[in-house]
Amino acid sequence: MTRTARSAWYALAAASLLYGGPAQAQAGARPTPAVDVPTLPLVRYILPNGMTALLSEDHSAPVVALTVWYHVGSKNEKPGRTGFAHLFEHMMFEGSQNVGTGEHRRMIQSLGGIFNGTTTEDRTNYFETLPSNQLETAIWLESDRMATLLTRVNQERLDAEREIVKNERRLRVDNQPFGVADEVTSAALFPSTHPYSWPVIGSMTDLSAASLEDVREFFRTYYSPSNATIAISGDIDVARTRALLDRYFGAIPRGPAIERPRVSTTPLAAEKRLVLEDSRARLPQIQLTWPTVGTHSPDRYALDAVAFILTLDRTSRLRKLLVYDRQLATSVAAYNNASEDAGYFQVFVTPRPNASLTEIEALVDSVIGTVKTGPVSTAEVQRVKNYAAVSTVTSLQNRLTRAEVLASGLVFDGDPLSYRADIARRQAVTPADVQRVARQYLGSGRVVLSMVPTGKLDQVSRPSLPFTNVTPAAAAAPAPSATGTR
Amino acid sequence: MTRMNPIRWRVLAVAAVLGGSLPAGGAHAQVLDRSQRPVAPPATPFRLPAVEMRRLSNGMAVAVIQNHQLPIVAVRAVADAGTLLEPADKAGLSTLVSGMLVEGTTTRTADQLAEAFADLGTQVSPQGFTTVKGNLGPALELMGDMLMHPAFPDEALARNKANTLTQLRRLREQPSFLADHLFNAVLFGAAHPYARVPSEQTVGGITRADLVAFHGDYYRPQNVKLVVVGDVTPDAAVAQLERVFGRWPAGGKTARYDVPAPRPAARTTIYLLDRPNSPQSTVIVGQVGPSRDTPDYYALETMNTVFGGLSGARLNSNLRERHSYTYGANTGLQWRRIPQVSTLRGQSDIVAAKTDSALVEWLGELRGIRGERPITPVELDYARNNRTAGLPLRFETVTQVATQVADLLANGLPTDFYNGYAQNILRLSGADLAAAATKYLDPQQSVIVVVGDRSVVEPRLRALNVAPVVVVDENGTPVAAS
Repeated sequence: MTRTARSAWYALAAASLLYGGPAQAQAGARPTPAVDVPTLPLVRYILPNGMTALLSEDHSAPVVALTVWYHVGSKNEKPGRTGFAHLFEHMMFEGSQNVGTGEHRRMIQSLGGIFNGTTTEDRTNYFETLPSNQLETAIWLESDRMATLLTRVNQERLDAEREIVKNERRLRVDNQPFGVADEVTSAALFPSTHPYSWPVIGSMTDLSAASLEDVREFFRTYYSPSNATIAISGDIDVARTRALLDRYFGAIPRGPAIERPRVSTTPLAAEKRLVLEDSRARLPQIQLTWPTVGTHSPDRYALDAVAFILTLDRTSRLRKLLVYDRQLATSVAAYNNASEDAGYFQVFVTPRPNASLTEIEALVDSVIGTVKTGPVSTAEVQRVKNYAAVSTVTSLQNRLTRAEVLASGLVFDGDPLSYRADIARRQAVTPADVQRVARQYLGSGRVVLSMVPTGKLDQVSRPSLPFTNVTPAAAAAPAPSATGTR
Repeated sequence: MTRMNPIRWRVLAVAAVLGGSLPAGGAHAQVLDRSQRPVAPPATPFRLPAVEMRRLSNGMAVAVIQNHQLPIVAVRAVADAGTLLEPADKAGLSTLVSGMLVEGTTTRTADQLAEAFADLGTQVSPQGFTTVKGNLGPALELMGDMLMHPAFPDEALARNKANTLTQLRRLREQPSFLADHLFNAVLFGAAHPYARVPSEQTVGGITRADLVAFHGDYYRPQNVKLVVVGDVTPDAAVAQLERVFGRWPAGGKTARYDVPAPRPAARTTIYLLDRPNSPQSTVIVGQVGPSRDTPDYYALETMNTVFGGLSGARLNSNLRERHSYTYGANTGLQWRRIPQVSTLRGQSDIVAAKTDSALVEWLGELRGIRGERPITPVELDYARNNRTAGLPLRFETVTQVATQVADLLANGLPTDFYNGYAQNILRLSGADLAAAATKYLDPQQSVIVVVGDRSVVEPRLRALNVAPVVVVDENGTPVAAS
């Protein structure tokens, strides 16, 4: 057992990318950990019908993970049908010709496995992790819905899933204090015709409008092997797995050419100031968001570095000032979110009671100003790189994560092993890059969202400036009198 | 190694046959009958990781598990230093102590610790870390320093106290927190340790001397166990641990738990907390269960898998799949350290106008699992197989193995617990599961908590007439009738 297991990681490490360690100590004043970033074993090929297969063999646990990516997300939705890509994802669990309603989940669970599906702006994935002897069952289930979904789709189940998705929206958005913060921000950040301007979960009205014909058309357009990538990681035999994929997916016909939406990065001409009230909230919050770049822009690595320099830990500039030195906030987080075609940089502050949002906003601006004008030290950038290198390795433990990394690399970067290039690009970021992207992207064109308990408009940041109140009617409603309804 | 060979041969043979007929995709369509569910080959034998239990020279218990999948290690500390050990009037003390361990040691400031973590590229916490193997020594050194020699600076204590109180206010914005707290308050009584939540008053009164005393009492080698998993041999791991922790002196107290008995079960009552403008009601239904060492453990867990433990189980199939009342409903057993009682509970967020209808279904499912709707052979297989065939997934990664072994140690269970696990599950019958349900799940003696919009929910719940409805405040105290 030990020998088998050992050989597994030697195989993984054979072509590893060496990062840091004593040999590279001269790179910066700060020490760097010695990290071998493993190269995942990979067999990559394309079936005659256009489906890409990525197979990664590793016998260190009797487990296999499989993910199927369809390159379609909420950005492919038509006007008036927001939320449809995700609603469709739910329909994929409603059964197909040979798999009854609810059978998918019960079958996977009865084999000791786990499963799910997720939808983003850019893609939809369906995945399973199972004991490795059940690989063929997973392939059978995934191929049955890709081949035959429409034979079982019906109005009754569409209506059922529509209500379930509405409940998902209530759970994640409408019943959470300031739960609509992200969707009102996106709506302000992008023009209304921009596909990233609407939320993946969609609106209640649009969910109500979705029809069976929409389901059929969406399936025919996007759910074909030529728009799919399958990645399988774990205790597999590559030759047998190839044969199984050929057997179950080989006969599914290629789909039509897909017209991808033109999605551009769109700088904001000026600042937009928004206010959100919520009767269920007890304390205010503030969020600042700038439009940035998508995954294809090399600037995203330096933007990530800016985020970490601001809030990675207690010594990071913005966290140090707001949480430790001035103690105006319990926490602050900055991150750069790069979707396929565009992205945004966000700072989210959770203030202490009685802290002024106006003062917090001014301090955020002053700290970002120090990044723009410098100096930024090599050691400060190096700490970001150290964390990135170690977390890349520790994140590769899980077979499902490996499959997702491979599929994501292929779909977005054309390279299943792009996580390795990512590490190299992150290592190449310099203090000058950090300052350049801060100046270029974190300017005056941004969305400032003040979130306050209902009626507490005096707590809004810089209340003398004009703002748009984006509060949905339900959350703003005064608390109904309980006595009146008894 | 040898275990794989026979399977590998068979696998290759299948591939060769299929490979021979490769060229035309159309040919495959003819031989493929999609209506035939594949028959799986036998499962690859799964061996539970061997846990090597050792003791350091000061008697501290350590568990080491070799796992060479990746050049990484995971470390966990299991400390008997939790909320049950703090005085009632100092609620929040144990959490403040564990949170303050990162605020500096007698030889390193908090910022110096943060810089040392950055050098390693790993956030080392006093509770553990996962990192590349070359970092093990220096990361253990930092972890040990935080566990053994915290400085508890006054300035940091004041900040941590203020932040704790702010977070408690924010938590009360969350329906899930409100429901959970209310459930424990009415099930156990607001003063019971399982229902206790820090308050302005208890946190406000905590001093640095309290932290020093609590740390001195419980952060001691007899109360802390360590788990190391990964690309390291037991000897090498123990040598590193000995260097860091071996001279940590005994002293203080050995953790002892004196938990008051729960209230006797009462007639089922619906406790309603008004949260205006809530489009969903957050509902918890549950009751007190037996201790983790009950002989009914396996039957209860497996019964729960049929009843509500998974998305394919009865409760979710009813409330979500059949009725679309919710995005999800699940149930589970909240075990506590032996011999303390457990809690059996289910939770779901239900569209406000269907709160009453969903409760009717829920109570019907409780009666069903007790025998009105016998467990079918398919359901029995579903639950038993999920728990047994799924074992390899629980031990897939280095981090998972560390978490599993740490959980066993935290609950006072033997590290070979999982060796007999499958056998204990597979011998259960449907009747065993129904008997466990009948014994422990009682729709007549349950606590039902509803956090939702009173104006929408209350009239419906009262009209239901399945149980008395009591409108309460956040701590479970009845609100005066208006």
